[in-house]
Amino acid sequence: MKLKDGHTEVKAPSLTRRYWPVFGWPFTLTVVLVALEAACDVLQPTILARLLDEGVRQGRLDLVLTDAAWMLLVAGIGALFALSRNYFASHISLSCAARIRSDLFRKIVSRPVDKAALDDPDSLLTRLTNDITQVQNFLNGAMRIFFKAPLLAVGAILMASLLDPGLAALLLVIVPLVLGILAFTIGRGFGLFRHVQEQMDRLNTVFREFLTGVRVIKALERGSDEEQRFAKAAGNLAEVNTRALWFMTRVGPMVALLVNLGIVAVLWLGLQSAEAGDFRPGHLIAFVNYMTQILFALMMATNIINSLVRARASASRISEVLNAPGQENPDTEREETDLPHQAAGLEFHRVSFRWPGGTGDVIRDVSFRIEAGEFIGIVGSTGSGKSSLVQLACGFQHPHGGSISRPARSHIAVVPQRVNLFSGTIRSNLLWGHPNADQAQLEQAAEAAGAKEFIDGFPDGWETRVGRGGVTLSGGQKQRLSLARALLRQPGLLILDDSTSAVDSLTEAAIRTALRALPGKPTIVLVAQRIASVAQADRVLVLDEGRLIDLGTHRELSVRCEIYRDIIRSQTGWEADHV
Amino acid sequence: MSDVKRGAGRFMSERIKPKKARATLRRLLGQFKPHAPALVAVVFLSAVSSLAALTAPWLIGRTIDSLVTPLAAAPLLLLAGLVAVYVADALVSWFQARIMTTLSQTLVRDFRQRLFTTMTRLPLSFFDTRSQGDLMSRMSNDIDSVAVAIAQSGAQMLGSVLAVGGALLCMLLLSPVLTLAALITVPLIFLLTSVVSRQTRRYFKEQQVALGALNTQLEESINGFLEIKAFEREALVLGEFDRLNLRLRQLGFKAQLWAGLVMPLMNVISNVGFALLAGVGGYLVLNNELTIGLIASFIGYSRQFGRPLNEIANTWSQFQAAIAGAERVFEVLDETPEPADAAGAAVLKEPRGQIAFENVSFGYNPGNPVLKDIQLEVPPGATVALVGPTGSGKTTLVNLLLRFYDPTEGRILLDGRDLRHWQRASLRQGFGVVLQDTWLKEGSVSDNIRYGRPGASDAEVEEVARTVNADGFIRHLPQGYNTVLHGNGNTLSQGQRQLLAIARAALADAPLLVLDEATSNIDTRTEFHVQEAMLALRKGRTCFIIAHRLSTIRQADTIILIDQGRILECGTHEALLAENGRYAALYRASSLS
Repeated sequence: MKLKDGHTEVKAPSLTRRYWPVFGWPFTLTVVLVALEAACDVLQPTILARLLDEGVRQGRLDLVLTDAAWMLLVAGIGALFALSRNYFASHISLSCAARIRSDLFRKIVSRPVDKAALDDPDSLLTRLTNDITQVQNFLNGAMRIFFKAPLLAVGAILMASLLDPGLAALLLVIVPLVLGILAFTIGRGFGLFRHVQEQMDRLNTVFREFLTGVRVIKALERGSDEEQRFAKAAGNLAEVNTRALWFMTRVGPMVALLVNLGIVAVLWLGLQSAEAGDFRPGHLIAFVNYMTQILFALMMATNIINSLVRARASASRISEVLNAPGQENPDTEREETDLPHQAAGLEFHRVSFRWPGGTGDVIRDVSFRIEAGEFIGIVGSTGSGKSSLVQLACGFQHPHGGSISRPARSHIAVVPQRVNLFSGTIRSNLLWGHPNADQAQLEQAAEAAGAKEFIDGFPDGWETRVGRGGVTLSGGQKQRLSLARALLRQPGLLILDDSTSAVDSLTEAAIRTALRALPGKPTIVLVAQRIASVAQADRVLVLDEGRLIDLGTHRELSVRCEIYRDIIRSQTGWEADHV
Repeated sequence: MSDVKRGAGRFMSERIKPKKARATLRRLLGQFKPHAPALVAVVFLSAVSSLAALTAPWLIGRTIDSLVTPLAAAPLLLLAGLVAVYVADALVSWFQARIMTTLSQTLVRDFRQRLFTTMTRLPLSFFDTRSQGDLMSRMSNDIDSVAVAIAQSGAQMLGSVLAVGGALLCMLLLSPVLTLAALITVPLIFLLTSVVSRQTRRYFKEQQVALGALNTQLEESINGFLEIKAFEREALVLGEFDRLNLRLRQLGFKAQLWAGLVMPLMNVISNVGFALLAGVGGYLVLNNELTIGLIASFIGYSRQFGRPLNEIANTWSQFQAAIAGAERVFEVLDETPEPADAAGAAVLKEPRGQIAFENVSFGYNPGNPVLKDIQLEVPPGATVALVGPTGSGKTTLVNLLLRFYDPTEGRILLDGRDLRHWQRASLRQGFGVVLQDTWLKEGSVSDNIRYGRPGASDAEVEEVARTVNADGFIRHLPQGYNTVLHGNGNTLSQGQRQLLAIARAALADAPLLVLDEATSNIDTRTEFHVQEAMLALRKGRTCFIIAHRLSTIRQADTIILIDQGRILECGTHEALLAENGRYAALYRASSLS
């Protein structure tokens, strides 16, 4: 899956289509409640008109009082609708957000290990957090304000027409005019605010670059250059933003003026009919009131634009992940059903592989067979395919050509390059490897991984908190804990992906010795930078540009393999012949 | 350390109440000083607009009355007045909004630039102790909320206050009794909003905590994705996620429910006021104490009264966010910048490169020394290699050399002069630096190399690239030297990025050189080819190398073994082997025999 940042032109409705079946009915119910609430709002002026024209003008106090009571009753009923739609709106927006978050997280967890996730976890996190919040806010707002505004407008127009069809003809002129202005504004506003968002992103890029490079920038004394760059970005943002906001400032006064002139026209028409002998002040007052209601409703609608732009961008970013292809079930692999905790073999048969979305093969036609209990080293330059090979061997990735025969996932333990510990204690982290391990097993694994000494050195020992809010571990300590965690799994196949790079050479040598003496003698695949790390392996596999160059003992390779000899030379400065 | 901090600070951008609201507000207002004329114009215009808004209901009421009792006033004149008022109102509020927009955008731009400029002058320790996410949010969210406050809240608040006060005055003048009827609900508004907002605040705070917990778990899970897969912990992680997600949903629901009450309550209360106004007004008209037109005016005023109250409540929370945001921005602006150069500090020009550490001790935090009593003499042109386990203090030593930090005790001499007595800029220009974490900027490949020396010609850039063996891969890029790199050069491999960083330092052609794990990500075979270039680079320059691979540093003039902030062993490769101490043991472990 390819993750793009920002505002791709993926249509937002895909998210709508996905969740409509689930939340469509309650959503509709809420909108109906909003409609009823709006209906109560627009009933008020009509009752007022009756109160004034029939009660007051005809001098009937009883009518005045009953109509006032009706108005109070309608206000009360409106309140009930308002309270219930508030309940539903809150419930739906939160449930929907929780559901989307859950689907997104499940999707992320269930899919194959992904290069994008490894390279750019921040982008995924933004989707899981900020983007979902945006959508939630939009949903919530939609059920409160965005639907109420048009419903209120429609209701007010309807009631006004019923009240006085003659005056309502005026609305036929004003409302389309206002709608025209709004449509134009929303159309243009969308584009303008997108520019603003682009410039904002640009500013953030410049600033993030500064933050990540602050050491280099200071060392090279290039601060003033960066200041200029930033000033330009900030200036552009202000300019685009001013343009967008200026555009928007015209809308409010323009719409208000139109509607207000409509009110003047209503009064003038009232004047005409009064001269003709038909005078109903209540009608006039109510009609003016409807005009004001329409005005407020339409003004509210203009505020939607901004939220809509943001929610749409967020929705499309979420959809991108949700719509990414899931994990296919490959038939190119065979999981051996070995007994647990027994050394297991690994075989590649003419395996080719490329990363999803990648352009070229990173593993090309690789075949080898590793026997159970063997200690295999893998060396090669960066980009030679070592990490991809590890991912394939673990079953995180699947070949697009050839086949792999490997033990079941539960019999493999891998120690990755970049270690992650989780909030908790040292003990809870190590228990990841084997949830039911007892203290003796924990100590044994820690010992073999060279971690026991420093764990015992902590005041809280095994209960020392790590991760968020815990102690700060050095890179080497983390790597040793990661190794201990893998050893606890008592794997049949142990894969070490350059996983002792931060451990000093002495400790590393001790760890290597301990690994060879592990109970159950698991098969060990060790990817390394240093030749010294693999020199004592049973066999060493040399990779270059995705191809298997050679497979043999250190001695054999240092005689016959040119690339291997190159590596030795670069690391020791000695000719391999002299070793 | 930074990992942990980054995560924690990232999403929990706590937006609690500002701490020193009054002082911050005063300072924020101080920013407006240069823009006083514009501000006065805005205040004046919003007063005019409020006045116009107050005249309209009165005119409407008079018009209706003129229909009831003809000849009371000329209705056409009243209508013409109404048109004039509406047109004036539209024009004035448009002008006002334009001025306010320009003003706020200018202020925000200046504010951003000042924040950035301040940051470029802050010492490295500032960046080391703060998470990137935190600083990013100060630059974007916090300043944005200040912008919103300036543009909207400021103008709106003023307009609202004028509208409320004016409407109240007009109503009282027209009919005190009807005013009472229309406004009897107002205390109810205040009571309800205070209850609602107390509950809302409480649940929002709880929701924030739940959100923080969930985000922490999400972050850990995504960063530890490989581990989850490798240890088949999917089910457990999902279970934990569901628990946290449910909790967030429940608390969020409560917060939203309470927050959502404000609008309907206001609406109901204004409807009740409307009904009371109609009933009491009708009764008064029947008793000939009022004209019917007055009811129309009152409806207009009470709407004007209710709406701004709503807005004031709304803008108040925006305002609080703005003050909190401004406070966080001022916090950065108030940081102490790197101290100015000492009086009489000299400009470093063509240094010989003799360096001496005299009893240097240093700690990032008091009471926790990272370097202890370092004594070191480096003759000009010598190469010094620093060896030691992670966290032993190697990088700290480099930090002191570049004056990212100053020693807490002792001093460092360059050409016999304390580092603190060289002008900092010239000192740093004297060093070529290649750091472990290679940083590339957005721009073309040649821009990136040229970053080391802005004036360099294309030919010089390519020449340098050739000497460090980067020319080959650069020519294979889609547009060669003009290929544009995005997002810290993610399209390049780690090794390629390091080669570019080396080329950048080589082009800078500084007399002193610091290589902090400069080749750690270049695979050993490629490094073999780079070695020659590095040797050429080091020739005649005093050079500090930090490296993990012992092979990289064998030829150094002096090898220094550091552990826990102290120099344990010091000498040439051969001498240290002969000494048969820690270094010799390390070396044997990493070599083949």
